[in-house]
Amino acid sequence: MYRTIPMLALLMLLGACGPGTTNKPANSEPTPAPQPAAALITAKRVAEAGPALAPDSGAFDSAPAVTVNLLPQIVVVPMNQKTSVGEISARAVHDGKWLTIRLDWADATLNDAPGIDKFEDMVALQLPRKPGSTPNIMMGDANNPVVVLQWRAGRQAAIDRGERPESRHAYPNMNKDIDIADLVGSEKGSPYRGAMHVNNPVSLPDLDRSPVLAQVAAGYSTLSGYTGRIAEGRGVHNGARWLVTIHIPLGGDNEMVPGLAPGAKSLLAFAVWDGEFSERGSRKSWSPNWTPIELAN
Amino acid sequence: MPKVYNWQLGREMDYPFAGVRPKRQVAMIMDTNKCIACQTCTVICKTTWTPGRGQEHMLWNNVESKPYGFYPLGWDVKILEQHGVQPLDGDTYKGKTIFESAPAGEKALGYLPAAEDYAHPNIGEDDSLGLMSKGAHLSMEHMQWMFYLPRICNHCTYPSCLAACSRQSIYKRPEDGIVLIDQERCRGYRECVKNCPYKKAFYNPVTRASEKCIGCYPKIEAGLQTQCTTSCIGKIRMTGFISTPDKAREDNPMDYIVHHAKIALPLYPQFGLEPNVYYIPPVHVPPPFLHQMFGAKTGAAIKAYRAAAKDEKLLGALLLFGATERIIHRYKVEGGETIGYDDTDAEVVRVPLREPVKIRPVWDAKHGAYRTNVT
Ligand code: SF4
Ligand code: SF4
Repeated sequence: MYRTIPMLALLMLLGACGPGTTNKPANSEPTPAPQPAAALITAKRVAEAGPALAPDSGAFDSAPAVTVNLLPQIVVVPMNQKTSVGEISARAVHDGKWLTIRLDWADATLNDAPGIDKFEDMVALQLPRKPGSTPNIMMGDANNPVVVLQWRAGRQAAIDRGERPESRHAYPNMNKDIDIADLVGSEKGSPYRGAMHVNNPVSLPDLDRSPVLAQVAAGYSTLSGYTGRIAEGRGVHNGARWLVTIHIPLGGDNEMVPGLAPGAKSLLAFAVWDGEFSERGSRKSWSPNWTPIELAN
Repeated sequence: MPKVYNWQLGREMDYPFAGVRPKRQVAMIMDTNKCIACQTCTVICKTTWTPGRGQEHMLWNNVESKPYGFYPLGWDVKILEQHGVQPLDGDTYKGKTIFESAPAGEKALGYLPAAEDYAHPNIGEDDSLGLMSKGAHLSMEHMQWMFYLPRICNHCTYPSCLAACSRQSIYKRPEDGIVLIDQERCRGYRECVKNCPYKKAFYNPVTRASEKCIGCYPKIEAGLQTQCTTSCIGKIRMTGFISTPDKAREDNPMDYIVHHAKIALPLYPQFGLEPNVYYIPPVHVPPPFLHQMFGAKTGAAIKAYRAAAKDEKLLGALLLFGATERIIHRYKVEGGETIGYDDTDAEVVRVPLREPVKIRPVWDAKHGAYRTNVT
């Protein structure tokens, strides 16, 4: 189902400027208009949170659900003026070691296959990196960095396949006579793997990765990869909806989101991409305001 | 949107970034009249740069037969259709560029090809325009026409791949103007694939990042011409550095051919990217087709090209094609020869303007055989 942006929000957001106009990463930080305060997500304490908790586990039923409205991203170009996801539901639990956020949203089509003209379904959580800070919602700002935890359906499918990504995963019937790595060995052939060779995190240079891509940013268009393993995740598509868990470790060993602990408060922002409609990058549905989260004692 | 000056259009135009020209700009000239579609350039580029996983569909260099050949399928007719009819006559382009006609929410006109569009890179090969009616036979000037169009990334002065990238992962090198995709920064959004009107940015579904022609930059840095240039069987190409028209140097063969003799023209200049591959148009193709493809100056270019034998400087520049692997920065015509010099001003090549003619007797007494001319 396609959803168009409400006219009021459109007018509010039109005043914001696009990225800078030099071909260096721009420092201008588009600022959407402030939105009304959102409902509080309370992370219930449970006996076990973390990666063992499946997205469709009944453990989430007793956690209160908060529905967050999503709008098409129309502050920066390129944008899809219509997006397919209008709201996302969030529930949270924790066990003192892991904060698990379970997200679900309506999406009738599962998009996780690789291909030249295919895009994957994705969801992202954004959190401030400094406890108590309220960064610019558009990827933070120089003084208030954020972490973006993006679960990717295609990434999960690739990890589940258990093999290094290959062309035949996208095109099983493709006939290929020779591959350079077969000729010269994988070490010498490695430069021919482009982004994978330079450890681009989206390339899945090794399979010991999480389906959740962790990135950090301190301002619009400064998003860059974080190589540490800081979040886990799992998605299940039930034919009509995605149910996705994102597990964030609590305590001292989580240098990316410090200060998250029982009793602490933080902020969450959300973005969803529907691969069916070629959504990627700035073509997304997003929550233009922060939603507070509190971890129960 | 900032204004930049595009000399190919003879006017300023809108571009999403401030215009900063590189210190010097790598460029290529291709003489379409000499291309035989042997695809040696395609194969050497493929084996040099794209023999890896996820690159199977990628031809950074391809050669297509016009008017029915395309790679990817229909690339130019699709963008031309989006672009609509534009006025092409006159010294100043009065139509809109693909940036100026960008739909709301986009940086430029564009579309993403389907996977199948890459499946038949040689579609339309040697197909000529028009049906042969019963009883028709080849007559000069022949009624059917086609020509070969070799294509690489144009390392545009105003690249739309760079303009469209929402992560600013694409950059134009200040030292030589080569346009590259940062393989570490790219996230595979394919905005470049969508917005390059020449469809010379590609997505690698294995590495999940986009890739494009790198202008053989390790060779350029070593003072050498690109692989597709030096392998060319037809000697149709020259790689070098081009100046803007106001700074054109008569002793730079690239500048002489493009700016002084004006026989080589950019491909679809009306898109507004100021592409840096220059084509000597095919002399036998109907002018309206060439007009759309190379702009309003095609007729004059063909006329000057036909008279090249009478212009020693032009002849000298053209004879340097395929004569050396080194990039020629300066040349001169002297004593019936054209002489090319590299960036240290050392002589690297010397080619006679006219091949010496030697007439040999028909009977070869040494071998006891008659000589037969086969060419
Ligand atoms: S190698 Fe030269 S002659 Fe052969 S197809 Fe390429 S450009 Fe044409
Ligand atoms: S031809 Fe396309 S890929 Fe190459 S620089 Fe121009 S816009 Fe970019």
